[in-house]
Amino acid sequence: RCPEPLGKACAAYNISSRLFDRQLRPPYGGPKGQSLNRRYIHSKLCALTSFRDGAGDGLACCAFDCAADNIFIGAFSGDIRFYSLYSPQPDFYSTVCHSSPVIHISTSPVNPDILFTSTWGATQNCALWSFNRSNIDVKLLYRFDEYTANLANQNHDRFIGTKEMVAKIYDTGTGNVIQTMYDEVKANGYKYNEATFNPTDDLVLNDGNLWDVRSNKLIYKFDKFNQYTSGCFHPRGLEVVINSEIASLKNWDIRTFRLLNTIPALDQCQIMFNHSGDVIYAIRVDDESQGDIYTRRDYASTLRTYDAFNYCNIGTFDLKTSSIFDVAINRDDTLLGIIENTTQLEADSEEAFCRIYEVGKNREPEDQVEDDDDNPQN
Amino acid sequence: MAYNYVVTAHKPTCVTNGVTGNFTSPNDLNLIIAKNTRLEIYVVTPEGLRPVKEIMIYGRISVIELFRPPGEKKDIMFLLTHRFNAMILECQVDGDNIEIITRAHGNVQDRIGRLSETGILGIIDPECRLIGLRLYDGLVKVIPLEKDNKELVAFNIRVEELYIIDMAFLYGCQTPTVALIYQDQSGRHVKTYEISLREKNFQKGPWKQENVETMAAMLIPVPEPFGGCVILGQESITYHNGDNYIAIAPAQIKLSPINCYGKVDANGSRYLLGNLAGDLFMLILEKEEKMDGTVLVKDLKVETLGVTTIPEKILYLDNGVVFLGSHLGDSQLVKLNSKRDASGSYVQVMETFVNLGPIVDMVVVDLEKQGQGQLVTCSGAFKEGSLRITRNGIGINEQASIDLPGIKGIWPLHVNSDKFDNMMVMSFVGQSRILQLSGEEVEETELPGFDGDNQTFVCDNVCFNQILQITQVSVRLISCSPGGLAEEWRHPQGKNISLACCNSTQIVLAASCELFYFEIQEGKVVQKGHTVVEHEVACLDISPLKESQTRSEFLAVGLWTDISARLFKLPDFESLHVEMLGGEIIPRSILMASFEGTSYLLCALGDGSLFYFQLHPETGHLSEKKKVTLGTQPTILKTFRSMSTTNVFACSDRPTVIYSSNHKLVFSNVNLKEVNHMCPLNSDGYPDSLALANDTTLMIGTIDEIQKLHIRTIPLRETPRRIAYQEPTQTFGIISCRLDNWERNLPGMEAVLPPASLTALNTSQATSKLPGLGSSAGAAGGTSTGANSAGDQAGGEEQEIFSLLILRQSTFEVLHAHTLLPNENALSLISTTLGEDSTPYYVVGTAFVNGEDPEPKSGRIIVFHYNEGKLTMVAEKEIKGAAYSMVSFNTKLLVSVNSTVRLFEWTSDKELRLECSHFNNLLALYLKSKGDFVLVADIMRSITLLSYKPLQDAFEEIARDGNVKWMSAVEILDDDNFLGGDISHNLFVCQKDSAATTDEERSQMQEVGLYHLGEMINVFRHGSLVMHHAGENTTPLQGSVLFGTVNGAVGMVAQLPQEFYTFLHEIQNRLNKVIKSVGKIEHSFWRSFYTDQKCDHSMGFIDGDLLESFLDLSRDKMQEVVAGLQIDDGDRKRDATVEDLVKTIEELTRIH
Repeated sequence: RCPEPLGKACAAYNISSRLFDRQLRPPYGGPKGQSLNRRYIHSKLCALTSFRDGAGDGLACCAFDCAADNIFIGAFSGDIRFYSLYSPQPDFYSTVCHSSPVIHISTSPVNPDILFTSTWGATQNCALWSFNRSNIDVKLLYRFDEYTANLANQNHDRFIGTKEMVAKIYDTGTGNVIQTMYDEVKANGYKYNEATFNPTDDLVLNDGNLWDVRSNKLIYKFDKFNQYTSGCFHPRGLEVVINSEIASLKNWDIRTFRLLNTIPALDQCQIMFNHSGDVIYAIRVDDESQGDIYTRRDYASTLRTYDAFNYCNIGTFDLKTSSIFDVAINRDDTLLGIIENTTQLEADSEEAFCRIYEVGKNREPEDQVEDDDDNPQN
Repeated sequence: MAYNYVVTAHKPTCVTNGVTGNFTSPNDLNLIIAKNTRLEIYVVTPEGLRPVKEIMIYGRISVIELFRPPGEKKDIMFLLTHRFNAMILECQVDGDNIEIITRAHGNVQDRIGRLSETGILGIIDPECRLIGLRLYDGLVKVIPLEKDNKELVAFNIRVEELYIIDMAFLYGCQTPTVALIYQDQSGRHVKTYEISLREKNFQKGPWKQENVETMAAMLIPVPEPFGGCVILGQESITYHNGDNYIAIAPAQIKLSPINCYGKVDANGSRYLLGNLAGDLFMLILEKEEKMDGTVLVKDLKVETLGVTTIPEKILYLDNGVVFLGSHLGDSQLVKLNSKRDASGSYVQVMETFVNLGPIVDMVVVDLEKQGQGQLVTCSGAFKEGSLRITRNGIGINEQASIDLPGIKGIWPLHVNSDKFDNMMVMSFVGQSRILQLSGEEVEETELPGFDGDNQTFVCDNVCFNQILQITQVSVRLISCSPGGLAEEWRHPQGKNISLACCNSTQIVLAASCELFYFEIQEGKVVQKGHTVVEHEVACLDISPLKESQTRSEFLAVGLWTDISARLFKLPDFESLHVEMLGGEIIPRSILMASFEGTSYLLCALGDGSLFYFQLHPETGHLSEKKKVTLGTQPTILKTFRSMSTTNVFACSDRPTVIYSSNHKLVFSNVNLKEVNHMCPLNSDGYPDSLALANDTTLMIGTIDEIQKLHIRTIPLRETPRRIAYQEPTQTFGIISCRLDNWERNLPGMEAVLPPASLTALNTSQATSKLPGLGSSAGAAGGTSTGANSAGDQAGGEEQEIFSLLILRQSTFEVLHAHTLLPNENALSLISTTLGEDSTPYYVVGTAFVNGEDPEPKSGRIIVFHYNEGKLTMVAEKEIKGAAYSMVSFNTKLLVSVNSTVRLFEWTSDKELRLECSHFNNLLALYLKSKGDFVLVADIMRSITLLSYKPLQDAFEEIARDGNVKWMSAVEILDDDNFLGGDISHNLFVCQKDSAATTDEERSQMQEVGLYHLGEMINVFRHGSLVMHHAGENTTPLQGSVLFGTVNGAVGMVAQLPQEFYTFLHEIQNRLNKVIKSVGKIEHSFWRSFYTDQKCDHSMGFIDGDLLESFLDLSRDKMQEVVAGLQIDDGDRKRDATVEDLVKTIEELTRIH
């Protein structure tokens, strides 16, 4: 149960006391002050702006530009759109990239000038694009036969692509496959497997199996806890989060792995870490959907945030939409981009938005002023 | 780009760490204190602490430990900075020269990892086999200690215990064994591990203890023969070594959490414990000897010793003397006596070390209206809370004054008195007078043989118990006993004497271009020389260079017409040196003096400027010419002695004391407006005093200790939070906070003094007429505020009580204390007038703080008026949150309330009415305003500039810094540049770009200055600690912003013109090549803007501390810096000389 009782030496729970104490005991006003600040900031979310799907094609995914205040949005029509967040004009750049829906865009701070797109449907493949920011233009570098692709964390020479249970490491410059990570016997067969590098790029987690990149050997097979998500590395430590289980990678060369923590609330959730690696965003995915991204359950309108250091729940946000298709976090963790689909009940139609939320801001503080007579005592 | 100069005016004084050992030599007992970025090394002597070396570290010091590997004769030091630079240092002493050698160094940062919330832990194995560090959760880093290893390389050991509270190496173990206190879901436990250096992992240790006290926080490893460790909790103390387990729960330690310990005996049988209330305890491990000769701990005892400062670090020195390093108050050197004193304490304070930190708030005021600021800081916390008045320059404390216009000279005399001066000679136009000093009484008297009908030029006691008086007509030698005129000399041609000087055996006088030299004998003056110089003499001096001497070989003369300073050898007037001063202003006063063994010639001109030279004591040659501006009027130089050192008093419209510190001349202002004449005075009524005369008054006063910054302490005994100055009522307003448990006393000890809010002349209690507010306060009344939250027992609850204190400006007496409502925290305070109303108000912004809520939901703005001893609440306004900051804004009141910025108008009914608001922040913590502009600093979203549109009654957002910065303080430099400090100890400048072409560019502030200060700034204020001289423009610096930091440092930021910045930057780069840092940390690394998320190169700031260190370099190192440097001489570039740079940098040192 969070929060734990705080000792006398710990930072004050009320932020106003904590800010005072920090003048004496910097920078957080005592132990646990940092996590209390994190809780304070990340328990609030406020809509800033939204980009409507004017064409009515339906929106599937989004990703922030890692070098400036821009966002890429992928549409079902196969095009990607590019918006400047603070530009006064609603003008945007759009280009057709695929014939099938773009369901995933991957950008990386390691090289903000390239992006990967993934498609879904009749043809399922990936493409690598170069992005020109000064004279806005997205140019195809090459396509390759994978479902998803992610750049390495330390340098942009390599990326990893995943197709079903197979992961391949590519040379970014040439698009050539460097190595393949697949073990038929140990394969878990997660429905949505997405291989990723660990923060130092010497390990890869693919389909619930841990691989050593240098020797290209499978080191460890984690127990399979669910059908759906294959797990990811914690960006700030030697930990792997698979579904609701957090396992520690202890001295992986001697193969001692330990279950560290279980967070039942993360069950069946798609999770992502922010860039600082201190906050986890989770949206629930349906275990019954057969890869059909249109059908989601009730939970899917809820976005939850967790403290990535102690795995405590920070906030639960009901986004008043019928379903969340994608969540993206901007480069300094201050904005969330969320693809929302609102079902119009009467019209039996759907409307798609990419909404931008500001982290840490109260929802419409203006409301508090207007009701000056009404004194809300909690 | 921004061009700023940042420099430390007052070094950090909070003690952050410390060690004792034999660092400088095997026979020296050293006390080594860390004050954030500085190390101070002392030798413990029977006379006290003797400072031997101060070292600047390019990083905030996190860990320091002394250790002695086998084979070493003395201790060596391990040091780790907060940015993970590790180093092993050795001290090499060669005569007076103390050198710190970096034996090994390395950076032990991991690319990935979660920094531990409990901070950095660093320990050294008692056998010196390895260093253990806990930097990141779940990892223990090990540095093997190998001899002759130049690079420190660490490896990580993964531990299952993620939340380690403390760790220690155990004594007497075959393999290095570490004990840990750690926390998991079920509580806190202690566990031991053996470290295998070969396997690079942890192996099961000899023992463990699950479920120790839930607040167990510290481990003390106990040396042999006991071994094991002591576990300190909040309520219990436990000894454990695997077999032997003894726990006690003495009542005294529950009063306040123990936060540090110090080992007394080498065998570990006694420890000193300190807590957050400043109580000092002794923990005694009682011994039991077994039949087989082994010893073990039989029992633990805790003895209360007394109340001290709140210690951060306890360092036992020797013979019962202990250094108590403090973060929240002054540090102390105390003696532990074997008997209680009258108040019941065993502790006797021997010495106090002033600490300004933590500086929470401050104001710059000019109470004496002299154009020079004084800094009044809210310093310290809890019972160590105080106000500190910091003033640059030297204070004269007036003892007596007489209205006496027209004084042209004053001299002290002792007539038939051994010890004290008993007369004072005063000269006026056409006459002279003598005052008799008896006790504090002063009356006019007569002296036989004294000429009262002429203006006196010189009057002094000279050899053979005689008095010399030189007037414009004659030289008169007066005998003290029997008394009366012994001899009189007049100019052979009857010319008037124009100038004269003497020492106790020699006289030189000038009549126009003629110079006469006399020697004084018993009953007569004998002319020994005569010469004629080219021009009329303007000033002269024959002060002996050494204190012990009674005569001078040299005569210093300043001339009219050619404006020269000359040195002659006596008695034959052989010319030794002619120095053309240049310009057209004649020299008015010339003086030879020795400071710290170096001889100087000082020559003051008629425009208040001063030349000074080094004077060769043998040849009389002058070198290293320097010029400084002291005032604007003719200046007269006089020597005096204070604390057995020679100083010079420069009388002018800006009186200055000249003294030497670290072999550099320092020019310190004196807190007087104008002094025409001065003489030292040591009478029985006015010992060690100075007599000072201006146009109208003669004043006798004592002088402060000669040092650059003077700090006065006003103890409050509770935590000061905010300060404001109200000039019309001559008062200071202070927000303070006390804990309601201050009365708890230690058994047997004298009661502590009550806090200031309870000892005020008048007190009052807050009331509120606001509907619902009473109930809101009442509802919150049951819960605790501040540090406590759910889970603590009632016994541990401490209520914070906030007060507004009104202090009298002149005496700092607490005139009134107004207590706020229960749970009402005052967060902000200003003094202002509002609207058309000219009444000065104190405005207090508050919040009702409920410890169980994440943030305040309501608060008040309260308007007070203080008038003639009465504090009245004029208005109150409820707000929906906490009033974090307030500024006066165009006769209105601007308040930041939680995430909003709100503008209130003062109505004719004396009520606050909300006019408009701005919403675009997470938490708007700090506000500053200039004209119609408002600068808002957010908790994490950096800064935003707003502009007020009076016609629309609204704020418009002009520009914002889009980067994440967790702000700690903010200031407006000018219309375009904004200065900020963040919680990662950085300083930055953002610039708005009004000329940008697009709206988007205009709305984005640019980061133009980035700098890692290494200090967290709590407050910025415009102002300066030094007097700004009109018309003097030696350094082209603009503006002056002072800042106060958590560690008690005061710094200054000023703006530079671009060319000067470029020049200084070039010097900075050169210095970095010449000055090698301790621990081999690059300056560029140290000053790079650094947060947990990112690291950027420093830009836009000149490191003034580095630049000033140029003056400490040896001559050849200075030459190395200068070689090839070009300086702009106004019209052309030329090679710079060492003198150019010394001049430039010495001038920079005078801006703070």
